[in-house]
Amino acid sequence: MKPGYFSLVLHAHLPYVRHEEKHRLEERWVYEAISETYIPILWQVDRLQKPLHWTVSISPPVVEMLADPLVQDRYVEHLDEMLELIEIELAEGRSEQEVETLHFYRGRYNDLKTTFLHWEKNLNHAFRTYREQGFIDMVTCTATHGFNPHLFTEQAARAEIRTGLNCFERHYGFRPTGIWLPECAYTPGVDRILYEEGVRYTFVDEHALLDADPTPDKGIGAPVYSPHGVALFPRDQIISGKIWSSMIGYPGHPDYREFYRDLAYDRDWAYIEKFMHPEGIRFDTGLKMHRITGDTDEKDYYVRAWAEHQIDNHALDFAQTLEGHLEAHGGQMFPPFLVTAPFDAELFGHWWFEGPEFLGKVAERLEEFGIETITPALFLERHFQDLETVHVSMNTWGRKGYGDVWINERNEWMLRHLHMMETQLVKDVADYRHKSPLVDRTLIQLIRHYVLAVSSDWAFILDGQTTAQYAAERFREHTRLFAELETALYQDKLSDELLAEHYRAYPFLDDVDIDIDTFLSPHDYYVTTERGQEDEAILVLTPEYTGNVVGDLGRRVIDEVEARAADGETVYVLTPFKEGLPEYERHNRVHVYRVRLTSPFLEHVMNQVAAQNVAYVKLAHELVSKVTFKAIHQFDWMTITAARSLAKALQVPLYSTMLSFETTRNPHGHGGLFDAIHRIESSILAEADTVFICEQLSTEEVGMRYPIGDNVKTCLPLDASPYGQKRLKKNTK
Amino acid sequence: MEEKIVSLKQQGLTLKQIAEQLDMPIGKVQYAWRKWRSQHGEPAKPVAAPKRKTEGKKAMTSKSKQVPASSVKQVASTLQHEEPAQSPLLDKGPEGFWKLPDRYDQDLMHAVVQSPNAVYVFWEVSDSVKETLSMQFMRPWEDLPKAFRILDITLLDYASGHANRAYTFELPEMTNSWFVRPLDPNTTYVFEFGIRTMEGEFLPLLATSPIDTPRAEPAGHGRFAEPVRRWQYGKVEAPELLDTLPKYSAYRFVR
Repeated sequence: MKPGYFSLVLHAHLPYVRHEEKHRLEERWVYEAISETYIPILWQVDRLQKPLHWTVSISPPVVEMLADPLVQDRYVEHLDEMLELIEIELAEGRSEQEVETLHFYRGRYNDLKTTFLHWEKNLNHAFRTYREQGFIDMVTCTATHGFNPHLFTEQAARAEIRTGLNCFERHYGFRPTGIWLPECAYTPGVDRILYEEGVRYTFVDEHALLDADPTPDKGIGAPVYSPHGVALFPRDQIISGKIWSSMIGYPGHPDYREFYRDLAYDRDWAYIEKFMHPEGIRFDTGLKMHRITGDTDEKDYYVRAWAEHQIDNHALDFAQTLEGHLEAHGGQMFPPFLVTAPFDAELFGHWWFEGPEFLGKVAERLEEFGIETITPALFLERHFQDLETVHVSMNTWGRKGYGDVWINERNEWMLRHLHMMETQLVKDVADYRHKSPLVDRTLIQLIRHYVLAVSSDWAFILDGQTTAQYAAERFREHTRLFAELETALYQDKLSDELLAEHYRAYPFLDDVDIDIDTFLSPHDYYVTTERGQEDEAILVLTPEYTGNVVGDLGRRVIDEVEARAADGETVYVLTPFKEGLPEYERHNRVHVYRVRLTSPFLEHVMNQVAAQNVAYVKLAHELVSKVTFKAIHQFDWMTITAARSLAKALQVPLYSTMLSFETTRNPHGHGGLFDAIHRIESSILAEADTVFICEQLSTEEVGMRYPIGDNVKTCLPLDASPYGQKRLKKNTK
Repeated sequence: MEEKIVSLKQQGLTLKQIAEQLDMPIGKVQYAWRKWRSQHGEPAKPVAAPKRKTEGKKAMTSKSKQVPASSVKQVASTLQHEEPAQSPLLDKGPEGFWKLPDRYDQDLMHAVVQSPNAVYVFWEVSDSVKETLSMQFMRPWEDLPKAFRILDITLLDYASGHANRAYTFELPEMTNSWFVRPLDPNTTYVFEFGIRTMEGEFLPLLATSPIDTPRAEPAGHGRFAEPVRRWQYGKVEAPELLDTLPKYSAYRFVR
């Protein structure tokens, strides 16, 4: 045996493109993947009949589509159509080379059908069987291939991960300890969720490790642990490049089949029409009659024997290359050198037609060369103690190595809606969880709509601009269904029929796969379940509350609030944050929020006041989701604008207490700030239901400087409620 | 007085008309009407603010949670201030078909990494905040110059107000997203959206959570090496690392 190991990982993923209506072009993606990749790979596993240590990742959308009777039956129809087309072609008297290739296709399509029917049309059974026989290992992916670094909440990331694992387990009878992160996209923090969900390893691009902190001693010659303990297996660029690159890799060889030249485009429309889309669209038949030939538009016919010869050559070359690579690093111990080669499965067969046979041949060569293949799971079992722990920053295996593909000017418009759906789900689960079985099923269906919308495929397709319209439509449709169902939930218009209708549109995932509690936050649970109902509350805005009270105002507010609380009122006090005092405290019926500014350092008084008012409004926005305010009471000019805009938005009465005015504090004042404060003070006099002024001020005096109406009154004694309602008698002795 | 309001409402008058007729502040009329409704077995439904001409978005409304309950009987024929609760994602275009909402009338600002040198940021300012600022500065929101600030807070606490570097630039009116570039790799940033005040001071209204740009070259023994070691060996209660994907609570400010 040579030193070191080789680990091959194949990731099979397609977006969920199952449509009830016939003739959706995108459904053909599934047929192509089955015909060119999935079954050919299964053929190799079946041919070799031994532990290959290949790790096959199948994403939940693929698992679900493979298990879907509608897709299965249509695939058989598709095979029959192709076989019919091949017969017609053979009857046409084509050239000798074409006839030879058509015979090859006839045999191949018959074999595809035989294999497909052998597994009772469900290829999940095939993969599961080979996995249970120990020939391959299997993992899965997150529910819909959502791009982790661009999710907003921990809940959404967890839902994607847990739902994916649940779905896979339902079909495959076991829960994998590895997962394929969509696009190999790692972001700090996703490892914690993975670990908590029972995942122990995943795959990243090589620069994730090369740029890790600290730099790993073994470079990419060994996996590392992320800070939260998930093993990250790096893709070896040099070795992988030999295989995937159409420029420097094997797939670009002139003798291999040409991907972009399909029989559909070489035949007259009248002849081929029967096999094309009813709306007159040509699409690939999968019968590709030419070889790459070279860097030319003039393509020669495909010669199967030549292609097979190249497969042998390339498999041998690959084994030799790998041997050299392993020997060069042969000195590495603890752990021994490991080459990880993760690929999109569709590269083999779909893009590189001869790929699956190449993999089969490589497996044979490696055995001859004494190169040990291993699965990541087995590698960890043997060497888990030898791995370093490092910090890995956000990265992917995509263009330029980061997020370029999934966030750019072509697809950025989706993100705010996705984030909105995430936060809505958290809120809906908090509000409606376990209200009734029907409501719980609704929450599950909302999560289903969300995961279908968050599929990274839509951003990917929009970036590539291939079937951009389809991707944009799909995103909009899932968002619309989410919006409509959420509205039905809010308006109490749910029914079994409605839910069935929503499910039928995209029957992806079983209800048991989706756990609504992934979206629950413990704090929300406390608020919605344990905190209990409060009476309608008074919202008090004041520049001072407890702490170092400077003047009359601070004392008046405290006395006022305490008096109202004694009356039995619930009071929420919003006041500026002060160092040394808690941001929140509660005394029986009084909640005190000391509100921080977005930015603590502002030079100008009016700007500080503006920032403080903005902070009050933003906090009140958050509070009204759970607290009902029946009145707003503001103190002093510094809280006027927030109080006014909140009173307007909440449509509640507005009360004001002004113990002094700018003109009384500063009788000879003038200038910009003086005028601005004067204007703001005038506005409250015009808008408040009642303005209470200090006993020392007369209304006449104020009226000389301000336009006042009959809503201005002198402060009431503390035991009289300014809100003009009967005091609630409490504990009267 | 309450009975009077209710009877006028049932005659089909709007709350505004009632307020004028009874010479009362509208707030009081609205309150009395809401109170009467809730006392008479009708959940106080969210009340939309008077429609502004710019958009028909629901304003912030103080609402008690609606559990699916008996459906609400309409008392008056013209409930012009009443809108049934609906998903914020439900919106209709001019042709009456569903469309993606243009905005959600919230205050939010999120950042996601595009590359070591670029971050995508999007944000939204609520009507109430816009209005508060208009009142404060006596100018319409549209006339307040918009600006954007980039703060490098690597190894600092944003809440302390300290930053290693800050850079502010003007934004065109009506922007709600920006690809911020060029940035430095391996740096912790906070992005703020705000206005420029009369004095030229930047007044931030929104800020993102801190976000790390990825490294783009080998780190050697960098700023994460020690925090990782401390966490690995259990020397700290919580990792001193900036994780994305924070747990979100819908009611995080309700205590």
